[in-house]
Amino acid sequence: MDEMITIINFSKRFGSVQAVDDLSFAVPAGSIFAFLGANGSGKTTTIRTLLGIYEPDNGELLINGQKYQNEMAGILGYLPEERGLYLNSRVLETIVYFAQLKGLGFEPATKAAKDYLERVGLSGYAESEIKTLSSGQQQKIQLGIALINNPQLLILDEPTKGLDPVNRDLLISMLLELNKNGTTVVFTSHQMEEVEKIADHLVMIKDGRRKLEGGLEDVKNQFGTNVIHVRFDGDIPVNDAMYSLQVERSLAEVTPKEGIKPNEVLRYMLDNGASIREFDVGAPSLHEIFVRVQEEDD
Amino acid sequence: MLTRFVETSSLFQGKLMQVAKRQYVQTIRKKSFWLATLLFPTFIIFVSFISGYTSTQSEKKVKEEVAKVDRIFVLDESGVINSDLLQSPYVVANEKNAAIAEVMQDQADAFFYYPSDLATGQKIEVYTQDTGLISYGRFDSVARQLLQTSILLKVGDADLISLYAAPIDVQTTYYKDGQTVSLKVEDFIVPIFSLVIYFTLVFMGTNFLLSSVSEEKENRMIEIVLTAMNSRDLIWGKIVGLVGIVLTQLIVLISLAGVGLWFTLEKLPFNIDLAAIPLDSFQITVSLFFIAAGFLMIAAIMVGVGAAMPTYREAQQFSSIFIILAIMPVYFVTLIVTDPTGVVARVTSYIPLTSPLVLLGRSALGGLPAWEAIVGIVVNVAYVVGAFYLAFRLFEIGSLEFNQKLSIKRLFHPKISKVE
Repeated sequence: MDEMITIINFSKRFGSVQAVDDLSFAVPAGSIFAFLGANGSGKTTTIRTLLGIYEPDNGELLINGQKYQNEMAGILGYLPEERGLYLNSRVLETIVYFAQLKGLGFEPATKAAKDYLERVGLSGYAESEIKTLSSGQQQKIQLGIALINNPQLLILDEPTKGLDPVNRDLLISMLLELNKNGTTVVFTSHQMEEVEKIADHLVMIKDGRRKLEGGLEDVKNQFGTNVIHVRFDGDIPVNDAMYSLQVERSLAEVTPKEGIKPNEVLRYMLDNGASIREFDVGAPSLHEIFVRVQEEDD
Repeated sequence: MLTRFVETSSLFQGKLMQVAKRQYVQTIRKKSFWLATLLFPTFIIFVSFISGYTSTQSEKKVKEEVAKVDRIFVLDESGVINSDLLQSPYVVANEKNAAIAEVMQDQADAFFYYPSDLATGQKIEVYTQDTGLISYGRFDSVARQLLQTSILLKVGDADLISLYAAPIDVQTTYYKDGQTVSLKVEDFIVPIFSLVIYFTLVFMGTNFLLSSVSEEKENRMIEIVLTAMNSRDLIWGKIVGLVGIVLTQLIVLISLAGVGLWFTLEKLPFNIDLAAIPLDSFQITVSLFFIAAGFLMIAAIMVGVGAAMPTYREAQQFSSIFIILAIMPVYFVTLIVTDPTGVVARVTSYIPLTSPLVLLGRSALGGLPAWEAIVGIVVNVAYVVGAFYLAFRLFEIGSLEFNQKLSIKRLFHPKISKVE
């Protein structure tokens, strides 16, 4: 598979802080790629450097084999983490303005903007000032600015942050459709369930260094295939000698100790009064993997 | 209609021009722009009207009061006042305190007392009722006039008395470098026009630039913009838009001034012959250069301040320091006008923020030798280049610092920001 993004030995320091340290990974063309890491791990710095906003201290960051130039804006859609809008401007003219900055002519830009507004149910607000829109409607405008040029590469830094479930589903369906039509989607997120739902490749970094990279299933399988997911009522028994436990409300992710089989764990739980509704054995969730990676000592 | 033309014109198709167009359209569409543009001439007209009206009303009141006068006591112990002049309403008083008592009891309108030591003391005493603030001093000139007329009558020559009272016209001939210098109203048209353009560009226009740069930062749009164009094109686009905005302002102001002049030209105390306006190409070129230098210097500062400060309000407060420095020559205007080649004029000609305005003023006053104009141009080019270097650095680093002010240390760190 061709690489849409190639990052080789990238390092970046801000004063005394080493934001990114010798980071390398590749984003396959046509993939939906999750760029994962805790807050402050270097994701935004990497994206900004990839897009030429920062200069790297070391390494190469390439899109389609080339260092990013502003002339490549026509193939790019970008939704930064720190995002806003010109609140005193009108909806249509704002989208058209950014489409023109990406190289579209006035007429095609206007048509594309009107089509987008129609699609997201905002055509009646084309001449409204953005500040009069609700926050959900404003988020649709932000997304529209990123998508207006039908980009080959779409980079979204925490795209679902602040979205309600309806708009989150709308966004995800749009991303899947764009990807189906050939757009490579790179996104960062702290919602691991969301990542599992849509991503097919990922890289996970910690303190600016790569910790995991590959296809979603390959990465999960690296962490074993005998993790038990238990849905239960009431309490679940604890036994540090047999297994470790991650509990979130009525769902537990149980990792048996070496030599302990899943059916032994199930028997122990039932014998100790657990009320089990579901019991499933497989790879750990991405949430579990994320927590493990971030908590492990270097 | 103007915004529609700008939106569809092929002139505005490049990225830089897209930014200029947006800057222009967004600004001239704001009510605050038209308010700021029209408020200035409206304020001037309003102040002139109020001033004229109150002055007329005051004169009217004083005239009414004077017309109602029927008794003024006069006591002349100096012996200077001509007794022939003391006809009604003047009444000769015999005793000072008695006359004052009459005035206090409102039995007389006023009492003029000319003391015996008038020649050495040079003081007349006037006693009258308080009839309001604007009527204060209404009898001072009457008392003085009575004295002056009495003195003139002692001369006894009617022609001399007439000459003394006539409005004397003074005709002065000036020489410079052995040549006669003619000073006409028309000579001041170009310099005044240059100063109007300078102040409009620098002090009204650049505030729009500050607001525009702060808006990019406050609205968190800058990161997306910088993926489509480099920061220098963005800044130049904003400056081109700003020039359009200021030209619009100037057209409006000049049109208003033209309409105003059309109605008042005949009432002016002097004639303006448009064909007699001297157009010295060297002076005009030098003036245009210093206007551009002053504008670009302040524009660069506004870009830097807008990028370095987290909010528009903080940026506006901080930028006022530079505006005050730039208008500092106004405080030295008397020194510069009286001696355009003096120490103060020369020193302020080479201080970064005051330089363009002082050199522009000196050029207008004819106090800028050619060699100094060339040195001034070179120095100002250096200042503008330096100001833009710092502005670009501040913008590249500060525009993505959304919640904090920029430190000097970061400004000069070589590897922090994007390198163009």
